[in-house]
Amino acid sequence: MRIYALSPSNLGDETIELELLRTLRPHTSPVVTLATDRTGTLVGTGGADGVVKVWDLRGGYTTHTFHGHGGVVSALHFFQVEVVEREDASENNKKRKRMKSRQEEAEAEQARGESEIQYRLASGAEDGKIRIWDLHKRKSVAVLDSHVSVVRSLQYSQQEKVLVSGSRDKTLIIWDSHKWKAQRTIAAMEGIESTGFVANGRILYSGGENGCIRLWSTSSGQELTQEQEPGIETDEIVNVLHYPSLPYLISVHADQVLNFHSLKSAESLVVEEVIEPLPVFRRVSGTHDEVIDMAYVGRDKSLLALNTNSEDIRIVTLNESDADDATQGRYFGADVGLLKGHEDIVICLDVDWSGHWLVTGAKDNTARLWRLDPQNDSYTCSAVLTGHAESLGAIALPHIVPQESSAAFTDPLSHPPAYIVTGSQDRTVKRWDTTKEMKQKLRAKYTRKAHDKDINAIDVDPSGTLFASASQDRTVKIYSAAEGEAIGVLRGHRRGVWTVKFAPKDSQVPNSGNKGLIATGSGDKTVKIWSLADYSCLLTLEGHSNSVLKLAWLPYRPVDTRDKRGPQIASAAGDGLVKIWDSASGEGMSTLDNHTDRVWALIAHPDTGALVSGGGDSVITFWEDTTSTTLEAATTAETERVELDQKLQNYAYAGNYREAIVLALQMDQPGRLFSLFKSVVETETPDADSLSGLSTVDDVLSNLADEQLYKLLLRLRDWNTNVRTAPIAQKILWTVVKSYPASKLANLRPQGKVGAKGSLKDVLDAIKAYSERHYKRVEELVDESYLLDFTLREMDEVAGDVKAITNGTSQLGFEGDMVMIQ
Amino acid sequence: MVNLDADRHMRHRLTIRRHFNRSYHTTAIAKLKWFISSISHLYNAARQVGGLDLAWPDLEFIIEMAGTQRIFRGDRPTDPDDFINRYNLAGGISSRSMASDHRPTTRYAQRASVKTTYEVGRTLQPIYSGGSLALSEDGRLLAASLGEDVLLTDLSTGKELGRIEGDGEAITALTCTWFPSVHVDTTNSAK
Repeated sequence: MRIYALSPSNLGDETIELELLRTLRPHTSPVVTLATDRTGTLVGTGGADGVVKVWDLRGGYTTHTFHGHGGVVSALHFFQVEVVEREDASENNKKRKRMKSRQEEAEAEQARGESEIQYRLASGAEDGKIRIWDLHKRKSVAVLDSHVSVVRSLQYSQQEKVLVSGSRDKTLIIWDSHKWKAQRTIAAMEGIESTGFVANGRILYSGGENGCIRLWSTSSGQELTQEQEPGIETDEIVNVLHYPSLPYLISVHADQVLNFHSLKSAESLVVEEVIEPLPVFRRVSGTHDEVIDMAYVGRDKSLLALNTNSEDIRIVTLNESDADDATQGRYFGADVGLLKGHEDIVICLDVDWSGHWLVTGAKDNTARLWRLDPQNDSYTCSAVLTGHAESLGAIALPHIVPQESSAAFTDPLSHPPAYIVTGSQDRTVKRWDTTKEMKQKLRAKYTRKAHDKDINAIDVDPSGTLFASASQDRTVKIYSAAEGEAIGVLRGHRRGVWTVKFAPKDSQVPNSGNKGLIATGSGDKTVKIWSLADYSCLLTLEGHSNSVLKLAWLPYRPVDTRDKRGPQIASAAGDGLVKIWDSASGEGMSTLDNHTDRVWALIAHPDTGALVSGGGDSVITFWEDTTSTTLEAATTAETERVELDQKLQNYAYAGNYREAIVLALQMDQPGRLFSLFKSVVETETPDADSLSGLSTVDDVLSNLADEQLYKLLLRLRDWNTNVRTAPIAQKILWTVVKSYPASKLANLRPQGKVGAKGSLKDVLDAIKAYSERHYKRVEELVDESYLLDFTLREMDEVAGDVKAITNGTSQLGFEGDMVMIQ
Repeated sequence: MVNLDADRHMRHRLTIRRHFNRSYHTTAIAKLKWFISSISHLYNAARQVGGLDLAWPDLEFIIEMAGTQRIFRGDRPTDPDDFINRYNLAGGISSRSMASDHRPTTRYAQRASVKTTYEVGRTLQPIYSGGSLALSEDGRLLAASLGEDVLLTDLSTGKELGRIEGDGEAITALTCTWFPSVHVDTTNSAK
């Protein structure tokens, strides 16, 4: 057990600083439950071993240890009861003094008179038994044995003076606190996970297996809420968070969703009457689980529809809210809508040009068309498409933008997209035409047998006259949208094709004149770009190390005239990466890395080019296009480099060696520095007593700062490795070694990291190794020169005039050259 | 025999020489006298768009004599976009580099090309992944277990307020208390 203190950070931002106060090991077995008392002085721990302990939170010591439960302690609750003062009050007083809590003392003081307040702890266990402990007398007051399964929740009402217990045996029991007898048993018909009181104890709430918050009258035990449809497994309520001060309660569901229920209707209830279930006014998704697909929603693309591997589509806002109503909480990423209707997991979705019409295809063999009106917070299902025999894996809408003057453009909410194309695991594609007076059910206009295996993706071309289907059978087929006739097949992928996307008009380079492009991504880890003119593969983009799962064309946004980029496409893959490609050159532009699991979903903003990616790691990343700033930075850096370069050359020309050397070191330009030193060392008029060649340079070298000196040593090390540059390096090294005492050189430290790679020792070792090699080579040369000298002398003795012979040879060589010219 | 041979040799050399001279003089301006070519291009560019009103008859004569085909690789360019291309062509640079899909390989060319770059702007991350959680009494702060960590979230702004790094053990229970100061207890299973 760890205890942390929270305090607002003094950095000014809104973060909270956490300070670990204490680490305790309360039980030999895992701690299963924790509870604190109202004053925050005591904390109770319930272990898996059936032991209950009470701790002083500040002091960190045990105040009570209660044995009694046989199994895991599953619920704990501190409460205070009023006890009418009796003769043993003095004894109580004594015990109370041992408790070091001042608040308690004060409260007890107040309560002294006709009655006093005493502390109790209720604990429930796996076996269904509830024990009430008197913290003053340190003993069990009562054992309540009625539940037959795990007690999950205990709550005491001071107003009604009753304790309620909720259990997985599908009952709620209200216990009278005077005699500790069961006052009423409520059959809830569902396992209860959490229960408590609202409306000053007059009403009980419960949440459990069925995923609904239900209200009960404390006095009569009658259910006050209308019958609610039980939810599915993931809707199960695992916890309910509530404080008497809050006008709402929060139900925590098994799918990590937090639902905020308004208590307004319950608080105002005067007589016992049956009311509507508590309205949910806000949702918070604890996690988006696996983000399978997503789409921008709303005319201004300020919302995001998320397919999170569940039956419902979540709609989250991307706007930062200015209203600071804590209960509303419409912040970036907050849930604002939920599309409920599908009976099984939603697999695919698509949105029309306006962002007001969304289609979803699900595992329940149906597709649904949703009308989204974010202005009025209205998200309704306007049509159900039934007809496929198996789950729907692909769905698409035409994305044609109507003419600006048309009614469809100004009022998209009353103009649903013209048609919907769906593809299913039953290997067929269907086209559905929407009508003005939309009935709830739509019928397919035509059905075409499309592929030999599952259909993974469908896309409608920018003009709305073609659509393409990508299948697990490794092919992509192009159809005319009007008749559903296959007019082209794209063959070439070696594995199933996961995604297909027509290049929208705004991705194309203006006036490029090609008929159109289509991109496909496959399980063979490649992206292919195809021409729509002859259905030939133009390019294969390789680089991903796992299946390419989703593609998105980027809008064409040239930075300036230097910009030679063609239409660009982003690909998301099973390797957790998003890559940007130039579909004209096939060049990989950049790799975006922020996911730790498969990236399933990827969309591009049609105006800004911003990307949104989501995947198996529940993270949704919003990428910003930084191309122009990167280019600007590169240009600035280049300009700076050129300017410094010029400056350096000016210094060298003017003989201002100090400035030149310092600048060359600072610029990280070994080449310039080397040529500088070369010109110094090989100067035609060396200064007489100079080490390097020019005494001004000696001067400069002997007055370098530590950092510069270290950098120079690094350069010398590099130059020393090369036979051609080694002589210069040796000469400068010699100058350096002569100019500084050994102690100074030994104390040099690379900046920043100590002991990192490239420490002084490594540098010196490298210099030493190569220097030794150079000396060895020179020695060998000297040896050889002796041999040469010897040979020449011998020849002298034989031939007399060696010079003549050498001249002869050189002449011969010259002759040879002439011959070659001819 | 020797003389005849020498004579033939001589004639041969003359033919070669004549041939050489002809080809030399026809290509001399374009290939060897590069400055004439350059000045012609510059002159033409200035005349076309650079505001040079004065004609230079001598240079005009040379251009005419050598032929625009040879100096400009076609008619005199009039479009500013063509000036540099034609100059490069006249200088013998391969036309390959002028193709629209040409991918430059030199360091300089790469530096000048535009690279698409993206940076992580914002992220939406899980705040609760199941297990225990606790709420503050004012309903603002949510402490929820996220894997082995505990995340503190402001429920009104959605911002992450703090994080307790886990120690590898599962979190089995979590509670908050708010008086007199704020505490969060996380309990890890005891070993």
